[in-house]
Amino acid sequence: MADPVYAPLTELTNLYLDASQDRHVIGIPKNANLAADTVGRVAQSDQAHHIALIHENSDQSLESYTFAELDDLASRFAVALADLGVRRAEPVAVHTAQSPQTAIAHLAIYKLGAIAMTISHLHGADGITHIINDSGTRVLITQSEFWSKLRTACKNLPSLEHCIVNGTREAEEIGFDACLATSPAGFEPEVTASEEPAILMYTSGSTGKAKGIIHAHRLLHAYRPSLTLVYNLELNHSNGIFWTPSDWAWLGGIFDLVLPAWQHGQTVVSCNHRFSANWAFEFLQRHQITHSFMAPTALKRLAEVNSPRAKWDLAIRVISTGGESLPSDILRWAEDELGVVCNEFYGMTEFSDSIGCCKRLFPTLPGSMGRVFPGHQVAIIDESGVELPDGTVGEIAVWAAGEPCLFLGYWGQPGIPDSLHIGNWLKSGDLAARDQNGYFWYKGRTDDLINSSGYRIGPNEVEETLLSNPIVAEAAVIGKPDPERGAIVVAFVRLIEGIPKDDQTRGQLQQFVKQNLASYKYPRIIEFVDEFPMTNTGKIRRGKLREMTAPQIS
Amino acid sequence: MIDPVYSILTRTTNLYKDPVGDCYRVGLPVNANIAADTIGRHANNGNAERIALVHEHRNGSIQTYTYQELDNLATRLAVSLASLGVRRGDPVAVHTAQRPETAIAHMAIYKLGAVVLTLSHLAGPDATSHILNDSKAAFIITHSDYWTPLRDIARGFDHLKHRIICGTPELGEILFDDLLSVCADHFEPVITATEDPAVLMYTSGATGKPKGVLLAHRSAHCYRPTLNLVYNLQLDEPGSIFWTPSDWAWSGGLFDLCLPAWQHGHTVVSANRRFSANWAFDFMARHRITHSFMTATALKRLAEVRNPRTRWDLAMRVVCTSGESLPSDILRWCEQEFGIVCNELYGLTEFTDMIGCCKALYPTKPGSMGRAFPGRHVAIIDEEGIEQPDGVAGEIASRLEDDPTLILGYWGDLGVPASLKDGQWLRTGDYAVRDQDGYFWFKCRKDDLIKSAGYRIGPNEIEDSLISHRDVTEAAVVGKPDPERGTIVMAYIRVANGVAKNDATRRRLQQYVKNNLAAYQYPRVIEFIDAFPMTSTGKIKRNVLREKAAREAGAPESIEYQT
Repeated sequence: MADPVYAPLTELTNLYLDASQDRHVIGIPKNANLAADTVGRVAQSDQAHHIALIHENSDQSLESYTFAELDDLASRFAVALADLGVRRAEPVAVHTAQSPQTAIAHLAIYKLGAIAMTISHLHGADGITHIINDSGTRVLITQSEFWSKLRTACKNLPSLEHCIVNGTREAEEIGFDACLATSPAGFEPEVTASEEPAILMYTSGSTGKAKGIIHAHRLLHAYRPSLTLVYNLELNHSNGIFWTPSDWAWLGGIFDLVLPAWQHGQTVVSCNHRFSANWAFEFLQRHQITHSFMAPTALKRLAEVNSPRAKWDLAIRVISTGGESLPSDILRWAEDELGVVCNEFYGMTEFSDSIGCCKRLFPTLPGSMGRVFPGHQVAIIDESGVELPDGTVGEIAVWAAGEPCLFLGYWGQPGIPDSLHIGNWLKSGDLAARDQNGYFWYKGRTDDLINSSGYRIGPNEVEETLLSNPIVAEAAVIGKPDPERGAIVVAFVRLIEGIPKDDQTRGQLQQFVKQNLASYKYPRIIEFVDEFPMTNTGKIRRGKLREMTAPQIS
Repeated sequence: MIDPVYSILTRTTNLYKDPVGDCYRVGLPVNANIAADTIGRHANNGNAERIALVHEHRNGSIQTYTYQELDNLATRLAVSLASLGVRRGDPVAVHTAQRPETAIAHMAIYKLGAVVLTLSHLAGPDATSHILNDSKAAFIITHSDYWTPLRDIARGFDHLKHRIICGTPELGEILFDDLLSVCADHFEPVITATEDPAVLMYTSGATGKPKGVLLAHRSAHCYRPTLNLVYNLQLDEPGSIFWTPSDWAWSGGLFDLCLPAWQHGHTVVSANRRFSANWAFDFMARHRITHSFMTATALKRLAEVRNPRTRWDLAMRVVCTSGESLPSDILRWCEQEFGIVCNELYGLTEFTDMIGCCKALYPTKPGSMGRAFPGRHVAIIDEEGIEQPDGVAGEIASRLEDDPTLILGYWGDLGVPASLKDGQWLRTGDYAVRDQDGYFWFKCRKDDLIKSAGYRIGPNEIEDSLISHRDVTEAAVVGKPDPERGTIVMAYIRVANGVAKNDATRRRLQQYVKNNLAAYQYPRVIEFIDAFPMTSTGKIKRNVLREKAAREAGAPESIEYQT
């Protein structure tokens, strides 16, 4: 049934009621193009001279570009790329972090109907070598500050023909600025169908080699209702200033902030400074940022500062967050101390934006992931693909037919792999339970599900409870195989300074979980650690923790 | 451009405003299937017990089907067709006119992801033969009434393997009803993408052999905003009853009536009777028809009856018309005597629903085609593709990038048809002018344009003027080669009963046109004829008359009509 709470979106966005009136559908135009639908369209409107991008250099000097300027530069760059033989559906690597060059490169690639392949500047030589070789990329667009450290290490790139470098280059490489000197006269951007590939992103999988995820030009339209919700129905308000500390090479940076902001004619601010709380607050104040996308990890860092509004004059109003679950104490800090609306939303790179919050339309419950967003069919299923009733922990699954945010496939193996499917459901690998009000509560990864004495325990709720104890700084919970119980709950805990790492503290924390959660969920083993193994997107690597417990088992 | 008059559609349909706010777009789902999005949808919701189809047999008996029943029958037929070897993408000819079997066949074929090849029972043996051979269809669902005369030539249908017959099959043919007796409990319909092929229709092109036009499953969605307009924003009103005298094998009958009615959970009435005004009024009264699609030709026939509401108790509220331009006197009759709203809709088979009327939103101007419909960019362009200002005549075109209705291509030649594409535009071949209020006025087909002594003259307004004279029943105007003026205006006229076919009548009609239009537009030559060459969809074949005029002038046609 169509949730009537979302009715305002049918006027604000491309969400519409199906002719049978019983469900919402996200409308996708027949043709779509990420350049034409963002900067291109605004450049042809009466907002052409509105500022699209402000870049803050490392010396704090500013560069700004109107929509018309950015569009013109992108056309010039497209002509240069076409000269290098870049053709429709060919991947072109973009390795320029947050910068005007990244913006120009993306738009130019889309104008040619080619595929923007994002490479994070955080990748090392091995990562880049794998990505370029797996995709067979011919053209790399990079920045000298990143490339100078990699140039010699990345020797074995047989497919690579051209390196376009912003900054200092080697003789055989091409200067980025030289590519902007071409005349765009007579250049006509390609008309692309909504289903044509637009972007290729390699996921930082915690196991195995990174896989290339292909998304279509439709994605921006597919996200529009969800992004309108997480930006609290303010995406089309005039004079927003958008910034994200997330890398533009990730879905969160480019699709959850940059492209939707430009789709709605808003200004984006970019910068490549190392993130710290103090720097970020200064930055937010300096640019009077109004809307941001931040990963929970970034918010946790900000939350180390109490009452930031007392120290800085901030314009920030809405922060959307996703990528991992937001601890309830961080949400409380964002609302009470930072004074923003913080809307969490849920998804993975392959299919996303199907669950989330919109405080404007329904209350945010701390610790909850939010409700099903309109235009998506989401359920909690068991291992055999049967829908589970409210209140039961199971895997979050999305109905494949009609899912507009679905990726096109992995590079080299187009189509949705069978491994993601169970029947017509797409498996997320995430555990949750839905309550009777339709709110979802995250319970961990399916790999992390702890089956203990017949109970299904998600590690997240145990971690949340541990974190709510003031002596705990960080916590991670896993299951350890146990001959008697199947598995037992093990917690890795970093204590705040000055707390003794002894059995008394263990007993105190175990008691705390028993009292606050459920007696069967308390961690039978607690290990104290000083730091956690992390992924480069700032998530704790639970797999590593499981390995750490393994020798003891054998 | 945003025409705020259409903003209501952003709340009631899949039309939405682009984020920059400078245009409307038509939103499509990523997966679509005509069966799932029409009958299938309602068979699985609260409308399952609603009547989807009422069929009136020739003997007057009535058969009704709920949404659930129709869906069940379609599922059974799908199972049988699959076991006969029908696979995704295969064309299956449906040659059963207006009857329940046609509805069941369409839905079954869509459920398999196969392609419905619509084959009109009015097509002659040559056209039928061409269509079946060109499409390479291996399956036909037909009726013995239409198949019997074709059996002798059927050996020449090289690819046809399975003949499924409604009525009386012969040895080696399959009885339609027999295919409905299978168990279908475990059938799962194919999930189709929005761009997957769904319907193959051969256009009754005035020249050359008919071409197969391939339409996608998106069709049920891309027409939704425009059909809401021509049905005067009443598509969502419960209790509506739909009927069309048009063949369901033609896009007007199928896409402009049956499918939108079923998409919105309404009842469709079908019958297979020869059309006459009296029969049609009886039928509309008997079935309490509220909404219809009719060609201008059908409306002209109805309009021969004065004040029908005094003789029949009619429930009719809205008639949508398309396929040819509606003469202004017929529109006036519809509004004043028939007492209905008549909204015209303009388009081609290849890309459509560009211009039209919606009386609920803005006044209808008699003789005008209506205003540009939302969701794409429709313009008047010149030979170079430059957009023309209001008041300047040119060719109607739709911007390729935005057009949500463009076909997948011609059968065997998919992609944007090269004959229509010109740079960023899709050209219609129709000449028109847009007035300052945004209304379009049809001039003529590009081929029919008469260039006389430097003037560019469209035949339509001359025909319209002639028909408005009480002595004239039908008229067609063409250009006739002339050594002096290049071309002169010539009219073929069928006069009303009792009117003399002589020079006095000629002079009277010439003077009449001179008085009503510009002096250079009057027909210098008038020829009286008793019958016009017509297309199978009831349009006058102007090209036949043009060739006749050229032959009589002794000039090769190509000199005169190059543009």
